[in-house]
Amino acid sequence: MRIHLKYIIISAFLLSAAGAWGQKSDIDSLQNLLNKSHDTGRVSITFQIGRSYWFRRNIPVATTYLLEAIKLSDQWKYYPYQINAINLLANAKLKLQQYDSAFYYLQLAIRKGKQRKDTVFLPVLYETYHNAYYELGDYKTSLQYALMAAEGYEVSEDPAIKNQAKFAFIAAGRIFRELGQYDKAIYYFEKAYDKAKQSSKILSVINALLNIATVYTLENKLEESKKIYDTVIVLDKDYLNHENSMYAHEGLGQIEIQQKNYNEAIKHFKKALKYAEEKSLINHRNNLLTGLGKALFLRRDYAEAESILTQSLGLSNAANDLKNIQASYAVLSQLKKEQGNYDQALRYFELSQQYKDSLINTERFRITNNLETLYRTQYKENQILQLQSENANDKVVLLRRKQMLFIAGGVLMLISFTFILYYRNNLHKQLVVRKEQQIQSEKINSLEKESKVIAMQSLVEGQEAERSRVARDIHDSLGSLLSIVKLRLSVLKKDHPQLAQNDMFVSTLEILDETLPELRRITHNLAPEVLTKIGLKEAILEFCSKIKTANSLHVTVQLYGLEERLKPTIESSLFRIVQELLQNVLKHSGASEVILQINVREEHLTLTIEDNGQGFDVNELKNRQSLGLAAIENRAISLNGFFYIDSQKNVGTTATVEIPLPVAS
Amino acid sequence: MINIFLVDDHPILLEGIKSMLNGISHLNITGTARDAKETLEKLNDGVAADLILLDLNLPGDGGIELCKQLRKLVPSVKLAFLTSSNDGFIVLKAIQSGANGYILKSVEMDEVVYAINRIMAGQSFISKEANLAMISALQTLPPTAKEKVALTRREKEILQLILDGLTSQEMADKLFLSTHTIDSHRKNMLQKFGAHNTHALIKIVSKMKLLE
Repeated sequence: MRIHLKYIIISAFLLSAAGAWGQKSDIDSLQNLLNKSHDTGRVSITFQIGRSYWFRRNIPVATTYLLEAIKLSDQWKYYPYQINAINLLANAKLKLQQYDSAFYYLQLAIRKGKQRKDTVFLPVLYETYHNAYYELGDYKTSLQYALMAAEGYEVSEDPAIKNQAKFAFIAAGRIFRELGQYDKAIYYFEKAYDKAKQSSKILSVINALLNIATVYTLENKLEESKKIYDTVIVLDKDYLNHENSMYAHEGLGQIEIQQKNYNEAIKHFKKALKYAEEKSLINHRNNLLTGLGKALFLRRDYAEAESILTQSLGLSNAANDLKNIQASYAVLSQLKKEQGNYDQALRYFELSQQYKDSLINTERFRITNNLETLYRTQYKENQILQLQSENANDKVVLLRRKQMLFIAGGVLMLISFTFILYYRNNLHKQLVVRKEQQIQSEKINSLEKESKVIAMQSLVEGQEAERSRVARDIHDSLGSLLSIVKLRLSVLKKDHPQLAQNDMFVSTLEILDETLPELRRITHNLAPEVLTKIGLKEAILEFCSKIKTANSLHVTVQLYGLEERLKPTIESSLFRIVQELLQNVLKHSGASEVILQINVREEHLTLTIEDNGQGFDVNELKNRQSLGLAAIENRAISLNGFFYIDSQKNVGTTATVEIPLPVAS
Repeated sequence: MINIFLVDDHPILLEGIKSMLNGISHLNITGTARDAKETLEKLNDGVAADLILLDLNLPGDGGIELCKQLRKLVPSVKLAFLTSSNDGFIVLKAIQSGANGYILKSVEMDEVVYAINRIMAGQSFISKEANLAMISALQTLPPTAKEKVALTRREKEILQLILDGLTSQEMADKLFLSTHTIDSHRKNMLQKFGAHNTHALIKIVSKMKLLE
């Protein structure tokens, strides 16, 4: 038996938090306040509205407000709510299972906190980290964060913050419970209980108690468990929201089933169902119905049990709750067996087994996926760090260069000024000065040109590197994973031939079949594999053959001296230039013939693309812009080369790129 | 029983493929490796392998280099790529590097098993899509016989002026180009026709009647 433990924890946590901040916080009145306030107050009100929506589980709206609050606090330089807002945002992302974004926001929060030397927030963030890793199934790391959070709260001198440790204790407890280490689970839940009592926050007390009760049930200490559930129900009486009573009754119902007191069990489930109808707990109803159905079946009320279980199945199907569907079918199968309807019993049994299989598969897939997320997140982080340090280096270099130029200019001016003063009357020497001046300014010009080349180079290279990195990531990782999914589905189809009749399954396979070529098309456009793995020659041949087959354009490709591979940056830039120029020919020229020629001779490469199209006025700015000629020129500059274009109306256009090739080392 | 050694740098995929192939009764995964170094070490240690399934994307020099090495080191072992790349030229390079097969990861399990059986029976196997891509790659390559060389407009112009007996400086003045550019075009043409000097170039060009 398994109560929905996780559900209890999360909802209890949220509720207790909501209780602490005023459950009836009225969004409308906050909105009114927001319209009136125009200073830093706006930050806190926006944050509070976001938080209220978060407690109402309206995540999209909450996200909007939280983002606004973060932006405003940066604007007003008013930071008290910022980290809280980022943290809530991370939690929202977790709820949406967007782990990458969640980690991003967490890291952002930590960075911002460190900048402001604010350590109070740390435990709260650790708690979110704990949640994230818990969701990802990495219990070890999750536990570490929970304990770090607890420690962080405990060392605080502010009793209110110190008391927050109860949440971290609950967090640690639930991991131990998940791992089957019930002693340790109880130890932490009891610590949480003590803290909660100190703060006399009833909801926190109830939360701790519910957790303790679930562990006792798991340990088969049923009587103790029952006592605690009874206490919870008493404590919960004064609250408007009876969610916790619902969980308590459900737990009691399960225990009574175990103890074969079916009448009692039925009563508890019915009470729990009443609470579930009262509140926005509809999602939990199917669990309760299954429990009730089971109890009714065990009491041999077969007809009523069947009708309840059918209801539960309907709800579970709508909510796609596989676990509960499986449980309901299992009970139904037993019920039919008892009734002597073995055909039906077998059918339900098979269905139950099927759902069990898919549950196991879903779980395995989730874990695999999550591992992948973890791996990628870490990888990306490293990359970002690396890029940041590289950027910093670049900046320093640029700054130095600027300073050098500035100093050189300053010195030059000083020198010339002195010279002019000193040799004012000496015409001959004045000429010398002028000459010198000229030489210096030429030097500065060439320095400036060099820095332009470097800037262009790093821009173009950065773009290319990023493109091929993204392409590689998508192709190698996502592509391979999708392929494995497909392989697995094909195994599944083989093992369960009846799946071939399942429309859902068949259409899923079809979608997958469309996805893979689409993925390849995208990665190919980003950075063709043939270019990186085989070389420029083959990439150009392939690209031109595609143009030939898709259009009525005749392309003559003449490549000379391109047997050896060139530097990757040169190859990719040239390939982009070829792509862009040929696309221009296709789109604008109306040509029927085009010659693409590359000559590589003596550390020198010439690319010529010539068409017999209508031509255009190369001096007109409009043409240059629409043809993206500046981009091509930039690429050529980045290779230390030149780009020129020559066009004659009704004769055609010739584009030429010349670049020096570094001597092969 | 066919002993298979798997090489893939992606741990999840490695596990996935391994568990699926192990589910086939006559296949036995004897070992796995994440890169070329690990592969060579394990094979050196005596891990049994009748067939090595390689990914193309391996850290370092990649799967094709590893395939070449393995072909030399363990000539009797069958080699096949199991990969998601299906670019024609890559398939071609992979086959040239000595692989007996090229299987796409996007195919169904049955095809993987069929491919393995065929390769072990001494035949070769290329997944249909990869095969088609390879054929179109082959078609883009220029035929071995000398293809008709095309001249650009500028080249024709310069060639005509060479025939008229102009020097580079005279041509540069006439065409508003630098002598450097003229020389560049001249050299390009020599390279195109495989001619050693301008004289030979003129001979070839007039023979091919390119200017008429």
